[in-house]
Amino acid sequence: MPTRRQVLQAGAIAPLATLAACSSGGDTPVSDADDSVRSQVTASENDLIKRYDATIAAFPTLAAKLTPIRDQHNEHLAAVGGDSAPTDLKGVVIPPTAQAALKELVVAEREAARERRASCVQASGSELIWDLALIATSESQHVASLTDGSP
Amino acid sequence: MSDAAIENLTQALNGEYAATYAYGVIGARTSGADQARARRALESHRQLRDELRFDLAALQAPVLPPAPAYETGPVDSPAQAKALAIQIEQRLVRNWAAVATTSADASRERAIRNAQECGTRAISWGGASQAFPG
Repeated sequence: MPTRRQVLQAGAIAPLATLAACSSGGDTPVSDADDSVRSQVTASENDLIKRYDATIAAFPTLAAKLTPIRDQHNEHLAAVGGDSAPTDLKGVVIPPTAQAALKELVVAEREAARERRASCVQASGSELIWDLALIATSESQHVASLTDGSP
Repeated sequence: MSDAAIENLTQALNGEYAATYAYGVIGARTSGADQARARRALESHRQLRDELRFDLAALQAPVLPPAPAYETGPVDSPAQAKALAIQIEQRLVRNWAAVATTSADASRERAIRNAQECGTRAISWGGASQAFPG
């Protein structure tokens, strides 16, 4: 019979196999500070999702390009445990041309990538650090995708 | 500095060694703008490799030498070369995210920037963005 401790250890390790090398980052207890990091990220991801929805609604020709990126923001939101805000597109001002609207999304993504990096530096739980490092990278990739390759 | 931090830096060094090797192959199989892109990427990865060697040495941790060769799969065409570049860069994002989990402050910020640069290079090679790259 394995002891309770062994069982707990095995259970704790299995789902984080890819993080095995990062266990020391977990020495710090996940703090209230991490809750505040999560809520900042939730607000920012909800804002991005709303901008994408409004842009797609205004310029349906951009849907093929923008929908996959919008969906990735939904995944980011889910990873930080955030609730989706009710989608009310009223009050979202979209530039008059598709090109100008894209440019605004690039600016927003660049800002998001920078904010996510700052949040990642603030975070203490290793799982949150891991997720935010990847989300920050994903958002840098969005900038590059929207500008056809250049960061 | 913990063993996990050393382990993650060592894994990242190994990834950068592999990238440096792979970009030699990629450079030989591409031309024009792609070859120039490969040369720039090679320079960036050499720099990251050197920084990691320095960080490990500063921790008095073993600095392993590169392997003589790394498995790249067949790289006979420009398309295969680009696919290899995308794969290498996306994989390095995970190495650098792991380094972020076992570092703090300015070192963590640098690790995230490195992840972002690798992730962005994957897109410049024609890769698609991912919600959780790598």
